[in-house]
Amino acid sequence: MTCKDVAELSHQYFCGELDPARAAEWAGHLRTCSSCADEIEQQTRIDTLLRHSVLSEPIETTVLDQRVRQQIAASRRTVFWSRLAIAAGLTVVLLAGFAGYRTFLQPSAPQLCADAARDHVKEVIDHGHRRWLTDPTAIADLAQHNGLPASSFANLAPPGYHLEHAKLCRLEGRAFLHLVYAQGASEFSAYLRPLDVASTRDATVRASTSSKLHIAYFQTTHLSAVVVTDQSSAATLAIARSAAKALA
Amino acid sequence: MVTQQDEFEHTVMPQSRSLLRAARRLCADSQDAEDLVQETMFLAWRSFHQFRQDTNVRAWLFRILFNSFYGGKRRQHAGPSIISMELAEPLSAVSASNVIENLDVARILNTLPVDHRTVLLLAVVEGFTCREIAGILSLPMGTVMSRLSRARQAFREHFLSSAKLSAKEAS
Repeated sequence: MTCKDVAELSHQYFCGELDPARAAEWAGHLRTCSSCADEIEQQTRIDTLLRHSVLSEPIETTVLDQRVRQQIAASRRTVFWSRLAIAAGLTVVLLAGFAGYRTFLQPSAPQLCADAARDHVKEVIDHGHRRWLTDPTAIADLAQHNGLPASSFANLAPPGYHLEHAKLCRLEGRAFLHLVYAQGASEFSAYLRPLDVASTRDATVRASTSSKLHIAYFQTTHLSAVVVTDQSSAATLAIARSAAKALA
Repeated sequence: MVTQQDEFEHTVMPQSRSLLRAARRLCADSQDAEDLVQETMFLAWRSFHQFRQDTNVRAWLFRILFNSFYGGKRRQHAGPSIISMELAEPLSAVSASNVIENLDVARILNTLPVDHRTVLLLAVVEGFTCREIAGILSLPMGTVMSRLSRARQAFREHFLSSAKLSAKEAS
């Protein structure tokens, strides 16, 4: 071990970081080299003086510690409010998304009624050339295939009416089962479609008029329905209430 | 139930004195030093959940302190750089024991370059091992050892030079 090695390894020696063999070599060199021994002795004294000198300097940290605690407390408040804001934001987004989802899935009554009125005029009053199903079994199959119970249309109409024919149509871009009931010269259309998302709404009937037609719209827990007729508004409401009761 | 803040108060806050002592040797003024320590403590708080209880908290804190110091602008405003001191006589001719009590050792330390001050503080004052210093400063062990050796040599030269001047003045 050279004198230069002794100087470089001195701190490791005093820290106990040297392995036993190197430590023995280091100490052995000092025993045979008075120059290094003097250097190390002097270095040790200077180290001690430096340590005592720096450690004896007055250090006041009360104010600093207080500043640190205040900064931490402020950051905790910021984190709390940030998390709260994020949670609130997420809730709003989720609620808005859910509302949008519901809106997207559920028919909008005004547009639906307008479409139903147009379809009734075209297919029932003006006798469009669409192909109708008249066989009750075929109509029941069509209803079931479109998610409606076969019994949904059996008692839908008030007494005296009979199911004349049925077909699928599109209202507001969605498939509806279009049923036409007749009693003598009086006819009405019933449009049914299962809801994509079950509703908690009661079967409130909403009625409107359009070009001498009366339209009633209602939802049960599982389907939406539109009744269209050129009969009086009272007769239209009576039909709609009867249907709502039967489908509830 | 012990909260994270309780744990921080118990483990980290008592180290502010050591950190401030080191920061004063690094920064140009005491306000900068306090800011550096505050920044260190706050960074420690933010990553305290990652701190493992079986690690050396002092080494961890000093590492944050030096990372902040070297990573920040304070490095540009570090304390005084080396002041040249001519030696009129060989070092061995100086009898340090007679005059060292009167020397301003802290002032002599401030005359060293910041890298030398750093390793001397960590090794001699704070008592870190070479391996710990290597971890704190993110340096290889060999670099720490050679830097420490050069820092000691430089400090001793300045120290003995000052001692010699004081001895002359005394006589």
